Amino acid sequence: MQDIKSEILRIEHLYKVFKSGRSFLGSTQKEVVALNRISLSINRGEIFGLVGESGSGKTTTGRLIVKLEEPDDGKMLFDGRDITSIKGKALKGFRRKVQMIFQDPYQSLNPYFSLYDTISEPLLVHNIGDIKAREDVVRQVMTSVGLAPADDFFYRYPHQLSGGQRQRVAIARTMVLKPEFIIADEPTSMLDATISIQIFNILSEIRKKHNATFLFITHSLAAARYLCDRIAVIYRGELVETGSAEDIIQSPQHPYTQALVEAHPRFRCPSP
Amino acid sequence: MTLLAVDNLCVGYQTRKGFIEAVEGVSFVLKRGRSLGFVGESGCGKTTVGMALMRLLPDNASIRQGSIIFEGQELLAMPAAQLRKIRWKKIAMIFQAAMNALNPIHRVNDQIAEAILAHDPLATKASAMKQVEDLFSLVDIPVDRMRDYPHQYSGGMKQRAVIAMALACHPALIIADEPTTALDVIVQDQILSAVKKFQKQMNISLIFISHDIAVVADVCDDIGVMYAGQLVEYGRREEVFEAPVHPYTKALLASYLTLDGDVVQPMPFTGVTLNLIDPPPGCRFCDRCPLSDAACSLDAPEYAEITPTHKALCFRCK
Ligand SMILES: Nc1ncnc2c1ncn2[C@@H]1O[C@H](COP(=O)(O)OP(=O)(O)OP(=O)(O)O)[C@@H](O)[C@H]1O
Ligand SMILES: Nc1ncnc2c1ncn2[C@@H]1O[C@H](COP(=O)(O)OP(=O)(O)OP(=O)(O)O)[C@@H](O)[C@H]1O
Ligand SMILES: [Mg+2]
Ligand SMILES: [Mg+2]
Repeated sequence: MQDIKSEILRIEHLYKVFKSGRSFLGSTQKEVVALNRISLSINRGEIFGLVGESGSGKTTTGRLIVKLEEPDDGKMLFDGRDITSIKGKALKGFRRKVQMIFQDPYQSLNPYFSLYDTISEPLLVHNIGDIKAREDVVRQVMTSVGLAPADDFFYRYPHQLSGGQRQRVAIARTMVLKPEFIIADEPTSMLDATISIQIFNILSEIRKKHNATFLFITHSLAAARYLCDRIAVIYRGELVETGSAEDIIQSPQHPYTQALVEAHPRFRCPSP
Repeated sequence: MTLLAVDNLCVGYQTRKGFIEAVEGVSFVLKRGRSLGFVGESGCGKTTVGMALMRLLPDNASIRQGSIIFEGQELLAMPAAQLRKIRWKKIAMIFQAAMNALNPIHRVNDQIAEAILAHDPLATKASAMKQVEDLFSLVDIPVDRMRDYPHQYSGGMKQRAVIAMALACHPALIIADEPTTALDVIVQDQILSAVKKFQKQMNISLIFISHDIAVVADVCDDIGVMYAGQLVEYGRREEVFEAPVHPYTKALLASYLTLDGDVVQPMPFTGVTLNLIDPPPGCRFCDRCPLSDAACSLDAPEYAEITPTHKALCFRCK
């Protein structure tokens, strides 16, 4: 059911400060405002891009939404319900619906878990299916992200994989639960162009099939243009513009966005 | 002058499911001061080549064949003590997982100063700190964030700190494995210019590993395109990018996303990546290749020489 513009996520004036450079006496303590009261609204079934430079607050936004981090101020609504401070059972239910593909697959994968354990873990945690059913889901998801033949990979550990293979494990792990809302933090930063596009197409496919919603975090305007319906540009913790990718690329308003368009590699491939 | 000559390098990994032929018959030559870029699909063996050059492969890996001659010496026959004099001082590597190479319990500037002090007997604490400051401004980390701990950095900042660390010891060869993946194009641009500047000024040779063709096109004189463990195309930058011959190289170029023009319709890749345990005898790309015919899957292709500096591993590009 594809109803028009029903809002799934709404963020109001989200504010987050980190303390940095802490010394024992606290004298040199400095505050980093990672998010400076950002507001945005994402519709069900949309692929929404968050584009910005390194350190601009993209990952922080994602971590706040999946509730790995507490905001210092502001409000978040999911499906109309205030999720800013949900706990316990409500939080567990929320986590089943909302998943994050973490940026750095070298850090986010448990080194002591085989691939099979890693990818099937969310199913176990949420008590879904029997062994056989879980195995089928895992095999199918692994194949779809290109970890094939899946059985050859089941008993490998993260250190026995290349960077891009780890990244695909991180993607597969979030897909097994068929979440409604997926935050994909630079999900293809380690993949070559042909596989990136494959993954983008898989994400589009999931959107089409399950009407899933995506917050797609990237620093690549070109990737955002390929995949996203709308994008927001974040700069030093503030949203500086929001619109369709095409409009923003054609007529960037903010100086940072202009610089971003400018710096995009003018790489031309020869005509075939 | 030749700095590094790699000949017929074959590396594999033992796993529960069998032996993975991760790198097969890779050969190339790198002159002093030049830069060579490896591009290719995820899992095609780029990191394995880099780790073999550093002699830092994990325990389940074995180098089955080949030779690696660095400054006239065979690295594969070198005893550990001698290797230690070369590793980091002459050949440094920026690891792909570099973001995590920083020690979480030490301040970032202290870590880099320590690396300088460990490798340069003439350095003092003060001179090392000064160098660190210069390196940080080169990679564009604000001076007032120098004393942070790694977890306080964003992904991009960590990666910049690690690049500063590799440059700190002035090696003859730097192997940079995906050093700019976590960075946005603006910072990436700055870093690549910094790398090029350093490389020219200090006459450092560079092996640059990336999945991003635009990045290697920017930095590298020569390009090696890898697919399923093999070097499928190798040549000067202009040759590979302006007159590519291998079908995989062409697909890679055609899938490159741009800001203008039509959104690409990439070559549909139907087949899965080749299974590297007991790979079939023929061309490793033929299942996915739009040009392949029955003969391609029978025998292994040999290199076709396109020009004296340009070669490709394909039956159909003679
Ligand atoms: N735990 C923390 N402690 C202190 N500062 C932090 C912490 N996490 C993030 N920051 C700071 O908050 C800012 C935003 O970081 P964030 O990771 O959200 O950036 P990002 O946009 O995801 O960048 P990148 O593209 O490099 O991943 C940065 O200045 C970062 O150093
Ligand atoms: N320790 C290991 N044990 C078993 N297999 C391994 C190990 N390390 C790497 N491999 C396998 O060897 C192949 C080559 O891996 P490598 O890390 O060199 O790829 P890569 O080209 O660097 O890929 P990426 O761009 O994704 O980092 C892959 O199929 C990978 O799964
Ligand atoms: Mg981030
Ligand atoms: Mg790698």
